[in-house]
Amino acid sequence: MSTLDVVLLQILNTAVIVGVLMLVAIGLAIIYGLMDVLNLAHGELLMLGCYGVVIANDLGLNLWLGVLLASVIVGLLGWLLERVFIRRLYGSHFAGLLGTWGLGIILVQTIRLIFGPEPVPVRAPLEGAISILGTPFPQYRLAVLGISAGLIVLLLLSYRYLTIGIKTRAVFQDQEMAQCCGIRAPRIYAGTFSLGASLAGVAGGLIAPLVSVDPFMGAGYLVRSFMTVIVGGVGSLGGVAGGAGVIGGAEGVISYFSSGIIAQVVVLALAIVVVRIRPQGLFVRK
Amino acid sequence: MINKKVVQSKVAHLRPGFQVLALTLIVGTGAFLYRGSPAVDQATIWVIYGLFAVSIDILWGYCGMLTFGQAVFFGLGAMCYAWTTTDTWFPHVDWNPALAGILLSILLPALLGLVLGYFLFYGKVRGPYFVIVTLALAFLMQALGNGWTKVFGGFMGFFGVPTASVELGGWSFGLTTPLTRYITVSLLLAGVVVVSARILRGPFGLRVAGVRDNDQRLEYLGTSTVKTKLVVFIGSAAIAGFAGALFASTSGFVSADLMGTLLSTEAVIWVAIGGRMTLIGAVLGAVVVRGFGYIISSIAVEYWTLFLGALFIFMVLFGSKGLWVIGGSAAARLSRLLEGRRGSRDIVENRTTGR
Repeated sequence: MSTLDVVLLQILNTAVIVGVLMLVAIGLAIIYGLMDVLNLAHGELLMLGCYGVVIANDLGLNLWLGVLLASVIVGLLGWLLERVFIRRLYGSHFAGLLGTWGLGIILVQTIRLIFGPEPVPVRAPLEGAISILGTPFPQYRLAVLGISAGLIVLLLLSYRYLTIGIKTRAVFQDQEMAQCCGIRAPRIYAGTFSLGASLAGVAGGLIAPLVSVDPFMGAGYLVRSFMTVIVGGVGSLGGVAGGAGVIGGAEGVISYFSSGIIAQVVVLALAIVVVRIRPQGLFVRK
Repeated sequence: MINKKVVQSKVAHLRPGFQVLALTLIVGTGAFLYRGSPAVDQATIWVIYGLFAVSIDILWGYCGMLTFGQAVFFGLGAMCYAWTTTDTWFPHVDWNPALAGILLSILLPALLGLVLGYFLFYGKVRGPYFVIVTLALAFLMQALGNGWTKVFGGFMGFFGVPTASVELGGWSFGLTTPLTRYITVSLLLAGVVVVSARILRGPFGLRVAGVRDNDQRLEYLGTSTVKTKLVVFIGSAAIAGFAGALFASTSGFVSADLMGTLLSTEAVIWVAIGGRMTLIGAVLGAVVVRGFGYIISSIAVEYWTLFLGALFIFMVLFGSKGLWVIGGSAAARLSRLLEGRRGSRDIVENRTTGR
């Protein structure tokens, strides 16, 4: 392999990380932006998506079907959770943080009791490699990149143009005024939480064959997507995209030269320094 | 007359200390009657966790900064003690290794608190963002500690950490028996509680209360909240580190999980259950939750963690003011029944003005 091959491979791998990170972080950011709840169980929703694919694998289903199933099931679970539990946390940051953290612990331990603490292997649905500019690249990773990019574009477009997106933005800007105009804010809340959960579920389903799937995997993704939101700034999806690029990119580059955990520590230190210099986030104008 | 008043006010300042000592006396006796001296050693650990919970109560209860990463300081303090007293990467300490370890366990976490606090508080990180950054810190320190075997002991941790014994001049003191360990730790906890309560009741405590209630308004009034936050953060980090050193000395085992997210968040639950802004409530919460865990220790760790998660949700949904406050108002109600309305009003007034 030439140097160019290595660099190209690295860029593509980083792009995959960034794409998946964006799926998770966007869900987190819209839930925080709309409902003011920082969902500390978001990583666990991703973990549930992974186990959705594991179940599909055990049942002998097609893995793509498994990813679809994971997104639907985790989305429905998110809707249910919002209706029963999360809505009781609105209005208090502390309640939101403590409640969702407790929820996360319960999800982790439930999965641990069912599947055990060991990592579960998942086989990728596409196994061949494809040649990009002469560099062999695994087909499945490319598919993951394409799907996450497509989903994000779809999400941005529907947020911009669809009626439901316009209603969501109205609630986001002024909840009382939106309700006066006949928009049912509680439904928007439930729908948004469900959408965020479903995005985490898809992300989990997509990366299941690429990473080691165990009950405790959620925390790492939670931390990364929070750093993404902190660095990128809250309030704009563009900021989240930029933050995902910075965090995922930095991690990809640093972990190439040293270990993954060192990369995460360096990225956290960078995020703290960024917060000192630009409290409003890198990609938000004052 | 004057003398009597002075004496009364001095006793009033010492009251939280006596309350703590009464609590530890009850817990220690109960543990001894339950399982003998091994249970007393367990109770020592709960009291140390109580000290750790006090550091969170100062930060969260009094200053309004919820943290999900306080165990980083606790675990770091425990590591400091293990480094100086056992044979690790750390240079060999000839002079009183235990004392050096305890001093280091206060200084190093305080230094980390200074560096972190400088960036976070000047960057106006507050509320949920502060929680996230501390949570990320705990997660990464745990992962780093588990990976970096040479410095943090890795998955195996450091075994055989000796109990503290100090020699100064001709005087020497060793925590050799369970009883001396328990009494020393209880006295240290009472001392920390008395000093913290004294400071938090004074002028500085008023600033801290201002930061908690509305830090932006305090800045409009022309005072810097950053320095207040920094002092509280550093002080609470130092207390947590000190508790960590006591933990290492008592349990004899230190691992990277002591710096992790689970202990960090469990300690927050202790404070929530015991009662915020009471200091002794934090101790009570730690002792009750950990003591309950000891009694039902036959159940598997998965179910225990599941139980902790349920405890979070219970606290949030049926969130009360905590055991200490509930117990206090129940006691007030009881004395109202016993003494009639007038006596109870006096008690209530004393309670509100006494704070």
